Amino acid sequence: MSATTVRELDPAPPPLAPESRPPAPARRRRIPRLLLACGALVALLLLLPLAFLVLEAVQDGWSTLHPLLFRSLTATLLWNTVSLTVVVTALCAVTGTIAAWFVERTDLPGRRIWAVLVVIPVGIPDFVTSFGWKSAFPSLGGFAGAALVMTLAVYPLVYLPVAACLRSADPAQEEVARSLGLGRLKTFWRVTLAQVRVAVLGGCVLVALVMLAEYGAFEILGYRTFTTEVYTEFLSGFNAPAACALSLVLVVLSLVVLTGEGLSRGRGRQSKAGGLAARVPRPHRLGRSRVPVLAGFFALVGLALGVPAGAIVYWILHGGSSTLPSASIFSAAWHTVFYSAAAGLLATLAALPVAILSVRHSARPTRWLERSTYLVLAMPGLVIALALTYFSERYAAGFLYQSSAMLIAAYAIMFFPLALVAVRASVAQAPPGLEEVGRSLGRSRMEVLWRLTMPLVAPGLAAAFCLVFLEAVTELTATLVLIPTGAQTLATQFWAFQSNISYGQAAPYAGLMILIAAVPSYVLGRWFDRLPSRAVAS
Amino acid sequence: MTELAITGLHKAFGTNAVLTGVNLTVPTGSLTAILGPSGSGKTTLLRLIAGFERIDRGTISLGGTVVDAGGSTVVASERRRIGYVPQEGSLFPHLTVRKNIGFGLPRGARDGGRVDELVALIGMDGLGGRYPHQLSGGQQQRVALARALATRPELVLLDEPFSSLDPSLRAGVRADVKRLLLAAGATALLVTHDQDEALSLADRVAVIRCGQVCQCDTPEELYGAPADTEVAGFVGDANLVPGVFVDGSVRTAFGDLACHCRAGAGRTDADAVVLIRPEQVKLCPLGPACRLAGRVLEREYHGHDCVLRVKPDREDGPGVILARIAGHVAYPVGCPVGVSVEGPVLAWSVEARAPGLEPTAAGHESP
Repeated sequence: MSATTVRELDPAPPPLAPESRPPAPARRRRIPRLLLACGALVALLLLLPLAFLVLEAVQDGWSTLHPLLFRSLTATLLWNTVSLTVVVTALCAVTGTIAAWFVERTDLPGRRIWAVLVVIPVGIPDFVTSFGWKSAFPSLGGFAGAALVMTLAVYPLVYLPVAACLRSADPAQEEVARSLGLGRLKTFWRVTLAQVRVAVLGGCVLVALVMLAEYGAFEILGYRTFTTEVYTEFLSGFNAPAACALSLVLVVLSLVVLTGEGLSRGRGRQSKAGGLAARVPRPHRLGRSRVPVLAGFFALVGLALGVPAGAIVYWILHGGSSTLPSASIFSAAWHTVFYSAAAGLLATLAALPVAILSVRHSARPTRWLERSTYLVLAMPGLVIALALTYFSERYAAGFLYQSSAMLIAAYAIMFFPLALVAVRASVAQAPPGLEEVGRSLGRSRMEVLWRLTMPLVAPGLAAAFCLVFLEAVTELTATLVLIPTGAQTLATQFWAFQSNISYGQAAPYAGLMILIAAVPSYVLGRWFDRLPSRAVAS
Repeated sequence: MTELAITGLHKAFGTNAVLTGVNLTVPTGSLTAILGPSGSGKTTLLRLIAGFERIDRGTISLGGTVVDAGGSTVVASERRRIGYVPQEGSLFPHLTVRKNIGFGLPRGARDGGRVDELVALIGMDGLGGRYPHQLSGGQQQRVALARALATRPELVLLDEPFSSLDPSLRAGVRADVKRLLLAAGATALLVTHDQDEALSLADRVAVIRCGQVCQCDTPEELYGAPADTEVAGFVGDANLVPGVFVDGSVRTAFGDLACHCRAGAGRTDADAVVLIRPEQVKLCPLGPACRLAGRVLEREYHGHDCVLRVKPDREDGPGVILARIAGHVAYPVGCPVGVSVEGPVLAWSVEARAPGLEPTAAGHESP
């Protein structure tokens, strides 16, 4: 027999940071039926275009689709699309990552200004960038031209997440690597790159999806991809089976990109430095390499921002005979703002139930619901527009076709995932625990909603609205298909003028479009800047 | 009058029964701690009292009024007049300190004297305009308490209020909270898994285990006379050694010790389990007067005192014994010592021991 010595059965764990405790009550809540119904309805509506596409394919039958799919045109388009996508994605990954590292981690002179300048090109629609280059260098085109222009237009999609990741990554990991005997280059390769890997991948997926969906830029540069071909089929008397076959390939390619990203993420997790305690890393000294690096940044910003912006300004100033933009610019601007604002509102509202379900009632069915909405990402805007068109023509006798409602709905579907990301973040700003405290202080449910939840959630909802608005203002492809008869947006009017090589008349439309898009960009920037401190506080 | 009374409370989440018949009364003006290991249902109990969840069976009554009886008789949480302080404080991030504190007050009083009073009470004059993220963890916790006290609730619930604080801050904030609760004259119920916190802070401690309250007593009673061996080990370091009851005392390797007996004990020749707290173990330099000789195995120095693991030399004797002695007494590792016990001790007959606790020699873990 032996004596028993017992101390605490439950030794006190080390003090937990506030964020580290999982939100336990979530699993306990019963999912409200009405909310679940709303969420399911939204998911269903979002997946309608995909359903239409599949329906069409099934009705056409394999015997119709087979010859359309297996012809030399398909092979050419496949090669064009995939090779360009791979090259541009790789170029963007390298450019975006290196630029982000120099801006965030070195003593590059003028870091703050570069941080802004390097990002601005993302606010210029790709077809405008492409227009700028083409008007400056009329001979530009083909694979090399498309690769150059698209890389310059979309590399910020990699830069932004990588820069954000570098800012929040734990610099101590690099110091540990150095203390373990790794040199500067090896540390970058084995530690820094590992830290930003997920961010780079995320950015690359965005780039690849943009590449698959892009129409305007390739049309201007005379480069044929699946998307340009689908649009050509649509213009030349809407050959439904052919458009359907090509669209299917596009959707499959997009799905490959999306699932590939999920698989390559791996199981590793990057822990971030804890909230307020995150130390600002000491910037690497560039020393002698300062001059070539600076020259590189001048070249990048000059090409990505200087050329398109310069071209627009040039054409506005030297626009030839037509001195002033016609009155139609105001009507076009009005339509642009109206459609985009309506789409922003609709997408934000639709994202609310899905976001609330996924944040507050996380369970298997709600997770699937949320995930299913991301399938929309696999549908290029043109495919969504065509699916809606096709459906209204075939099953609804043209009902709603080329109506404002359908255009707005198409925008809302296309940009729903963007809205969801922002709304989700904003719902997470108001954890249920806060509402419980509010209630226990003797305040009614409505009053708590008004005084607590709304103020916490509102900035995020505004951000979601801005994000969708911004994208819709600069949308071209789906707009060309669905624009109501007699109406013009800035993008479609710009497109009409530039197709006639009336560069002078087209340029003011591009300029105004970018100005309108700049306002929500500014609001968004403010929101993202405020986000971390609030997240820590709650 | 009893402020809070809970009888036969049951609560399950799906098939997972969390609370199975909790009985607990919290007298007016007292500070009661609910002590239990993680996952024992402490926080669930608190949330049920606050009204954030509904009970399955049983009753909760406040000041004689039933607030939840498991069926349709439910008083909404905003009508219970219960202040709630969550684990991380959960201050409203978009409101200043003053507005957080004034949140529950009627519209006219939200910037009035009551808020000034509480800001002063928690010693944060001049910081009323700060936002939560500009405060330290301890300050956030004090604001959360002031917010709960502002509406003069009948009862204040605190859910592990100190566990997210730095250990160096904890003692200070603990004292602050106790002072604030006393000053407000509030009845308070505090949940914790830290026995030290429960014993030092509360007037009464309720130990919760397997979904039931297994003992509710003053800290002194709980430490000195735990209901069973498991509670004994949970509220502090415990040496559990075998013994035999002999005429109102208990015979152990340390000699016959005067004993208090728990349930069913006292029959002569019955086997017993004897609780010896480490501070009851006395060490002396080895000499002929020593009844039991041993050797120091390990030494854990804390400054104010020192905890030694001592291995008795006798093969048939008890295993390793924990002893807590004054910090300045030096017995190095390997030193031979004489071991004795200062009674009275607590003993259970073997049959009455709590199930599920197998004797282990290596029960002593360094914190």
